[in-house]
Amino acid sequence: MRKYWKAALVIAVIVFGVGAYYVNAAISAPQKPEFVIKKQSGDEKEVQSIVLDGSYQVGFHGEPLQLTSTGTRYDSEVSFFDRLNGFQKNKITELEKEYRSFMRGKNGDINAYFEDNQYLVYADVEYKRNDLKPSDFRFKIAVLDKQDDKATSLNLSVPNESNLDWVMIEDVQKKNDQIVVMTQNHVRDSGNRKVEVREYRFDISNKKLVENKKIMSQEESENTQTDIYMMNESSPLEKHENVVFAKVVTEFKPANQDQVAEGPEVEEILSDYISYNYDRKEKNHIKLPESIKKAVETDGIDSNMFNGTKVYFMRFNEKGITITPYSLNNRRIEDEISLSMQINNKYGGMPPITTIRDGKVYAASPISDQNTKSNIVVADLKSGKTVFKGEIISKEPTQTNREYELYFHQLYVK
Amino acid sequence: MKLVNFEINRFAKLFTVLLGIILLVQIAGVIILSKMYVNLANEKIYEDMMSKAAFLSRRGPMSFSDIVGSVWFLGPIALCIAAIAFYIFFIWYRDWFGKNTFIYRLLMLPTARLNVFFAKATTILLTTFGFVAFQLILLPIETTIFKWMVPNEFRVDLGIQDIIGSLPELLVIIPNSFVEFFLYYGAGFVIVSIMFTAILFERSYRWKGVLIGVLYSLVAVVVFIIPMILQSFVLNEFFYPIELLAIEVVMAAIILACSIWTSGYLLKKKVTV
Repeated sequence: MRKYWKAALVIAVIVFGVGAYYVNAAISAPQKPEFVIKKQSGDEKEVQSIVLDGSYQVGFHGEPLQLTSTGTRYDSEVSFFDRLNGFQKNKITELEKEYRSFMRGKNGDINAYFEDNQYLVYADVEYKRNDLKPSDFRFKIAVLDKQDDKATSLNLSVPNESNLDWVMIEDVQKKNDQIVVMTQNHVRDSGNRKVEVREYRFDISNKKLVENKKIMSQEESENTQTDIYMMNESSPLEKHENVVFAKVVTEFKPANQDQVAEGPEVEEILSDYISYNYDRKEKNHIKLPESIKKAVETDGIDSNMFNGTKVYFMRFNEKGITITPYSLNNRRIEDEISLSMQINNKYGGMPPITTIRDGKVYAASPISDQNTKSNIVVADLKSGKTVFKGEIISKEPTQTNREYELYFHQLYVK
Repeated sequence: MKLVNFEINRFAKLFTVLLGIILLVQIAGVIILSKMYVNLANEKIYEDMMSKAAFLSRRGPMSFSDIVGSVWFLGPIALCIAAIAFYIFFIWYRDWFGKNTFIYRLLMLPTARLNVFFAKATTILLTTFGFVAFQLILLPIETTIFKWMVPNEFRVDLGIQDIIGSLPELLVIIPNSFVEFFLYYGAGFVIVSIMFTAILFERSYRWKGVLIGVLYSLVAVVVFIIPMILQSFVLNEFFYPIELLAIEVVMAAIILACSIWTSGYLLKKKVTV
């Protein structure tokens, strides 16, 4: 044995060092605080299915986390194999679990899916990337009949595909026997560039494209840039009658003499909100009062939501959120709803993150630190009443030595 | 086993010197960097009459990750990585070019010649793990020194995992989970086996062997990345990530088996002394 002492020592050190590290890592309590939602008033049931994605930051080190009513899950607590499937669990990962073979090779864009009791539909536009410019744009559509577990797929060339620069799927719906796919296309048309929103309808049983309709289009000019956004849907997978698009025109004003160094002045103008009804196949402009239009321009359109029949315009101030519903069916503004909520002004008054689901609005403050707390508010959209009010607190008493910041960037309801 | 022990004994001197360098340089780094920070704090607070809070908000508290990111800490690690890379070649060539062409005696031993190959590969693996383990044992010691040096109010205490997590490069050497540890070092072992095979090609056919060795390595790399290329360009992400991982593990196992078999063949039939 004497002869082997060096090798034995090396092995002993390895077993001790590496072993101790991983055993310690496995059993030691996490050193990050456990955040929980603490009720202040209302019913705790309201936040049971809430999911907040964010990150926990100490100094320059941040770590992603996910907060639910049961507590906090940090990125580092997730096992290697779970991480492979994606750390932040969402609707797509749920679908992958349930329909494993159907979901094979499908992308993670929630807008590309449609689901009801019987069907799961997926649509994508694929293209070849090996040339200098993209080519050979094709629709890849798949429909899963959940009852008999049968999948039908369709692979068709996009009309006028040789003029396309890129195509994005905005929405997928199933209307009777037709699959409706709404896309945003960037088109080259004899030297000019255009942005188009198009509706394609497919007859799935005959595997044919039956309708191809232009909903909106905008030419690009030298001094302006047009962006078309589809309004966030409260439940993008579900069936709905309408889609809403916002058109934002950005103007680049030529710079003054003394401004040359700073580059051209940029001005964003919200030019239009347009709704489109799938059943009636008609397009409408939404007329907004100036006050809302202005607020939308300053706060951006990201936080507005629509649930298929109503658009909810949100405005934020120090006291809370004001929500103005607009009914697409009556084409009318409805009564405002106010949510009182403290917003941490220390960080320049970032607007709260919000979501609308099943007739309720959920809002949470995006930043907090060791001295402040994030608030969560849930309100009923019909009655305008606040049904839950709470704050996000650290379970353990805060350690004095730890300065942290807690950020949230997304809120959704399962 | 005897052979492994023999190889380790031959590496022991260099190994101990390298461990000593890690120990000395890293601890010196901890002491010097902490001292510099404390001196700066003293200077600002007592000479420039800055308040503690103002200093902290301007400079920020010190954490151990400041030390981990410095040359004092990473330098010795880089040195060890270079040493191992060098030793992968040295472990073979010194048997040919050493004082008394030692390879004669190694190849005359009454065991399978492949055992020479295994002994050398095991030695590389063991010394690598030895460095990692030594670093892991050293870290708590260094953080303790750091705590002695920097007063509580100027310090952010991080756990060992946070410290390692603060530097992505370090996460490759010491991954978060044991599964990753196994995967990364498994991949490393496969690479070592490919290089050993290439070296044996060179020893067998000299200049022509260099070419064959390079070609062999290229083929191994291509075999390994083919599933990933197929996945993204032909199959349109057909496999879930976990399935792709399984395929890659199988590919790596195949490459390892090929390397071992080829090396065994070369050692038995072709090696020229």
